[in-house]
Amino acid sequence: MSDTSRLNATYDRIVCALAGLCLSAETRIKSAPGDELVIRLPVENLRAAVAVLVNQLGVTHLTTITGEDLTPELTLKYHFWQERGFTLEVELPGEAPVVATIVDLVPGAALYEREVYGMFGIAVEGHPDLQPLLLPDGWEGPPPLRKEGDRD
Amino acid sequence: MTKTVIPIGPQHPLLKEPLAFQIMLEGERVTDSTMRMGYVHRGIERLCQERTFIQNIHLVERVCGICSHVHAMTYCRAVELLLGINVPPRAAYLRALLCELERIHSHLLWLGVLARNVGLDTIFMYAWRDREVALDIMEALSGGRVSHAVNIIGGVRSDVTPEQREEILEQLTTLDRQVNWLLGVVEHERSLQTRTKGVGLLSLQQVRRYCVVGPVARASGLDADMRRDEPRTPYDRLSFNVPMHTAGDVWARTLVRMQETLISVELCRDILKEMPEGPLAVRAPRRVPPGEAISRSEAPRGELFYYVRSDGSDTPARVKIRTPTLPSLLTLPQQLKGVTMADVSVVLSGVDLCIACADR
Amino acid sequence: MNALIKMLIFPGFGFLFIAALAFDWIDRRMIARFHGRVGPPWYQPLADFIKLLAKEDVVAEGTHGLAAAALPIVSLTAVMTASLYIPVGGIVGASFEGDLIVVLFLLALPALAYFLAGWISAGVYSVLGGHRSLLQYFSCEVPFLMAVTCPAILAGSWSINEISNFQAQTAWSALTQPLGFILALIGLIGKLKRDPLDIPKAKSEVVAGPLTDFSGRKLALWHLTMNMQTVLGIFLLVNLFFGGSRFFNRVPALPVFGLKSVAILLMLSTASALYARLRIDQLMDLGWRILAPLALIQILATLWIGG
Repeated sequence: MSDTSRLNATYDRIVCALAGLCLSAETRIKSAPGDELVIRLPVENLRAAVAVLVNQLGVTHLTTITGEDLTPELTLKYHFWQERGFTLEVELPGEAPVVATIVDLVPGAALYEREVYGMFGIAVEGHPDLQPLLLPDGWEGPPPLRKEGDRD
Repeated sequence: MTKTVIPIGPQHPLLKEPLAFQIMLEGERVTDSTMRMGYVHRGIERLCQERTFIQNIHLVERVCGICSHVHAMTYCRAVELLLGINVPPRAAYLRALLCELERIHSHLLWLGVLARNVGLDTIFMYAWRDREVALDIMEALSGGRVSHAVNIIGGVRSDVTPEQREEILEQLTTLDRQVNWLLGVVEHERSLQTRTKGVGLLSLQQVRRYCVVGPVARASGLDADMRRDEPRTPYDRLSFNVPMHTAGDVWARTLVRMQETLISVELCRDILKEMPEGPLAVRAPRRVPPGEAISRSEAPRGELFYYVRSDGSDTPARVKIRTPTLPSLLTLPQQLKGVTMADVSVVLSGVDLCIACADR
Repeated sequence: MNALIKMLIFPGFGFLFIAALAFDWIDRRMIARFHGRVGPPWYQPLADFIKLLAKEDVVAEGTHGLAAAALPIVSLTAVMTASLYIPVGGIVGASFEGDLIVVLFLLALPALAYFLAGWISAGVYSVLGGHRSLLQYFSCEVPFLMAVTCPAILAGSWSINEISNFQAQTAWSALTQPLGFILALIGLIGKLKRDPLDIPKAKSEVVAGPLTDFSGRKLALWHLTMNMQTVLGIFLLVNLFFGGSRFFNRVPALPVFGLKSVAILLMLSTASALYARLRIDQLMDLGWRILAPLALIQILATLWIGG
């Protein structure tokens, strides 16, 4: 089972590199083969952590950014891939959420950050062209994937 | 030089689905471009939260009109992970068989669209004629040409009988011959090459930066294929090549897709020959326990990603779909810069856009 | 009275109209066979024409209405006038020394009208298509003109009928000047804006080019003009390069002429089925760097043979 140990070594490397920045690291998300690593970070450490991944570990592939409304707070999951998938998770307040952009580190994040902005109203600081990705022009309702919209 | 702004889309003969580009032209040369999407946004991620796990199978199958099966399959896999069940081997083989047929169908469809957009209607007609064979096989397997509805949580619904197997193997031989012939035509078609070589260039570095996946990435030399990188039954038991090219232009993408089509035909044969006997599905528990799951698979256009979270109720708390077209869309302004107006159609066809997928 | 019949019925307008529809049908049928399709029934071009005539005629806002109405009529008139001077199977409508020049001029008018159709309309696709049509016109017309001059030089006459008769006594120009014939054929494809040189109206690039904003009757007239131009272009090439009926003296001239015309149409259909569309810069390269010098060589060779 050298394959499994190689994959585990990948996770070990990531956890080691991010040790000083993260709140916790656990293999929480079910996936195959084996559960995927989730690293929880304080939101202010996100850019630093992504910089470590990109510059030290050579991570290039960001699959997507999943936003989620876990009223009262919001979470963002950054799904990366290097040999196997792993996720960075940050928690944001429900009121006026702001997150720093990672577009300068991972240019491929541009559309995902715009989508998160449109769907959850999370302001992405430093994004070069922050507009909702999928919503129609002049959309006035609440961000569609936020839970407070349910009350109407 | 006169400066013009040419709108391409939301409706334009070049685009089969609504997407809007503003192309800034100087003479015939593109200086800049902006993109607007969302015209076919159907709110599927939100709808998924309001329907049960089982209803969602049919909903996500409608994300895409070309690779419908792979969406439903990837979603089912995520739910199966949450439930902690494994599908029987025969079901996994049948799912993979439809995936490969879908890849053949999608790549041939794409070749036709590219040929049509460069004014080579003959190749368009031939590619779509050959694609019919793949559609016929899928219809025989599932009863549907585009939407198959064969996936259920825990396995598949429809089986392949021994007689069907022989018939499909025969049809695959026809398909193999025709695709080989088509590849020969395309490889020797000089006028197609003059239009596609050196157009829509993406370097390996750009592909990495923009997180591009699928045939577009492989045509630029990025060795990534989820079938091999995250192997599951039956791909871990089958041997197959991942075709790669390094030129990074539309011609390289054409070659990658054509070679993949041939490999998929071969894979279909192997799957049919090695398919184990056994049940088609396992009984899935009715309640989905709380938890999160990620499922990835190689759709015809690249890595397809599903994230499903359950909170223990009968509807998922969150379904996130990332389709492979999205990162390709991001590279389009880069690819369009500096090409002529005539090449805009080649660049846009070259990445194989699926707008309905991207908008969800 | 005889002159009136010649003008209105044969080989004049009536015949031209029927030939235009027939050639359109043969062309579509042949391309369909190349595609592995069946193709339309024989009455399809007529049905399309009548359907377009009956459709609502919309003039887009910002388009010069009068010019939009005049341009298709002008180009149709030019093409019909040209038809009078092109002999059909030895039957001459009208002929004089120098009618080749008049025909070439009249056949150039629709190209100008086509460009203007793009120029007067407000749509960006039309303007872009109009620009392209001019660029294409210059790169195709020069080799075409040079190539069709060669049979004239050899025959020592500028009358189409004379050139045709001259070949009956000697040999087809296509045999003595094969290069010139190929150049004229490529030039004709470019003049007619057929695949693979349909650059000004490439659907995936500029929608329908200058004709994007035209509809109804005007579009019907444009299509008719294009189809008649195809017929006349083919007739012209037959007269200039396959003139006379030296090898078929026993057979009536008219069926032979028809066969030759359909053979050239088949060449055009084959070209459109087999090649991808060129880019406008690739066409200009082809026109000025390859076709024009080759045409020059052909002229020099002809002068050498003829002199």
